[in-house]
Amino acid sequence: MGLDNSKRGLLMEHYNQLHEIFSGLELNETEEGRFTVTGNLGFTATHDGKTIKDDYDIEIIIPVDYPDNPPTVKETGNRIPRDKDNHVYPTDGTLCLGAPLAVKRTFAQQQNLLWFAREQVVPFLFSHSYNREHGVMPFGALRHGSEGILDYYKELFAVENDLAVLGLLKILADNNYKGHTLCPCNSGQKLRHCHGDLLREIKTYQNEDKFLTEHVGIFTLLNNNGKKQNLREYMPNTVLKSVRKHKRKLNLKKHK
Amino acid sequence: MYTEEQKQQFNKILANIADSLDIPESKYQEAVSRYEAIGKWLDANDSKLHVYKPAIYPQGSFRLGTMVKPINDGDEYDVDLVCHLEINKDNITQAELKKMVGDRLKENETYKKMLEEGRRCWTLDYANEFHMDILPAIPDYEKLNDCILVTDKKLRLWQKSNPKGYARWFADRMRVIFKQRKIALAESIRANVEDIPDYKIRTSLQRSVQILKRHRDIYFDGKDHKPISIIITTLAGHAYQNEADLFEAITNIINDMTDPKNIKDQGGKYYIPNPTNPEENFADKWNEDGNLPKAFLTWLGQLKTDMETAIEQKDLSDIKKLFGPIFGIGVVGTVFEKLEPVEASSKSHPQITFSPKPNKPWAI
Repeated sequence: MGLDNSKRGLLMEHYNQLHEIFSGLELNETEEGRFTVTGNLGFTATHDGKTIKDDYDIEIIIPVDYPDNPPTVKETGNRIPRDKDNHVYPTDGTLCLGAPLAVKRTFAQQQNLLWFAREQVVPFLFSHSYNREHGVMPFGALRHGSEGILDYYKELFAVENDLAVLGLLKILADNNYKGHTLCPCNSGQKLRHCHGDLLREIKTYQNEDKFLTEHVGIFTLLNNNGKKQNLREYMPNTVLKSVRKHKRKLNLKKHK
Repeated sequence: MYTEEQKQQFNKILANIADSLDIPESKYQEAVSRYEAIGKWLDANDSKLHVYKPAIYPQGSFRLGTMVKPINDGDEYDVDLVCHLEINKDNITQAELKKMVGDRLKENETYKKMLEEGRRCWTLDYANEFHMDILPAIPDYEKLNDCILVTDKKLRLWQKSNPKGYARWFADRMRVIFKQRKIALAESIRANVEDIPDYKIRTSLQRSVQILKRHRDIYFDGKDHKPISIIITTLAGHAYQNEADLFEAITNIINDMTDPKNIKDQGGKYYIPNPTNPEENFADKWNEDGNLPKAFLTWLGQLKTDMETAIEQKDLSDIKKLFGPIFGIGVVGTVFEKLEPVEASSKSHPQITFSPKPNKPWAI
């Protein structure tokens, strides 16, 4: 399944904008009607008074639901090792441009290829080159797995407490936003006057299943960290339900 | 203080920003063919509206040439249309008129799926492209001269309007420069002046309005009391004195917009009359909520400071830093990447500026 005609026109327009700046990139269409943008992406950029001028061979893969969802990118010149420490998904070789929600949120600001290349791909490649040369990630990096997701949400929500993240994510995982309830960040304010707007914004970028997965990852992490704390109130409803069901089954078996 | 050279460079930047805020020509053409198709459908021989000689024409910023790109790229351009039917107001109610137009649109399977009803108009939603607002209207026989009466669900009386007259007033405010620009364009492409369509011309008034509106859109993003476009356009039209120079035009517009001869005082009330109909006060809402004029003035003050600070900068990169958050990083980035001096290697390794805090890389 390829893109329909109006989306195709949009993609062409976006590609032309991209090509005007990054002239080494070309648009390709596969036989199945899928689109990729491949070639050499060169850039000059400066951070902290240090200028990096570099270029990478890349492949940008346009998703079938473009521009609702962002593209993915691979580095094809074998300069970036395919491992976690270099922020590459080992399985398919795509670059981990950021926490999944961060990538979607940045893309949602301007759904086009030039914006994607400039705001997401170039900073990633710039960071890689910069780190090679100066031994430091210029804009930082998230830890791996759920720890990194937790880092991201703490920064996004501007909270210090891990449990505040769990509480806010629970609302998204349960798809249960109620503006008049108290905000889980413990500000003492109603949700609608506190993290409400942000929650309502980010729930447009991914569905509750995705938030549930992220929540469960962080929940497991905090549950296993050795600290004695009761996390039951942070369990999403879907999880609670399946736990109850499971218990009921066990009870039935006992009675038999 | 700034040099003449700085001013010329600044003018170029402003003109480029205005141009990249404008609706692209291909999109413009597409919008025209879309609404012409709507017009044909309404006027088809089997249409109940046929006897009333339905006519569709654009109004507002699309007609004036002051369109501004939505802040988010995925969002649709708003195109405002009038659907004019030759019916006497004594023979029809507002509700009947609105329903008649809606019913005919619904007879078309494609339009039916895209149709939404608003307070005043019908909206056809072309995903990823346009929102076409279709405002049902009938002639105002008491006034003639393109005056129309339009529907409004909340108000019992017919609302008076005159979009064609307003567009004529606006065109008249920039008549001198418009003609100059048209001749210059015709000469540069060796064409006849008569063959250049109006939409190809953008005067410093139109561009000033675009820049003002964009600054407003970003300044008021997520905030209340955003000034309405018709107030900005009208005040800018009054203040404009056919300055050819864009920076001069904007500066004078900002300074003169608030002059008491433009924002009038009528018995202690704000009065910004519709230039084609003194009975209509664009500042009606300002008299109900004092925060509106206050927000307008604060915003205008900020715009003035931003312009004054920017013109003083000698380095392109400093203007770029300043303009990024004001006009949008996407638009400003593209403009400056085109303007920055082209070195041998800059084609393959262009100077790229991204947000100061990009996403941090992650791993699963």
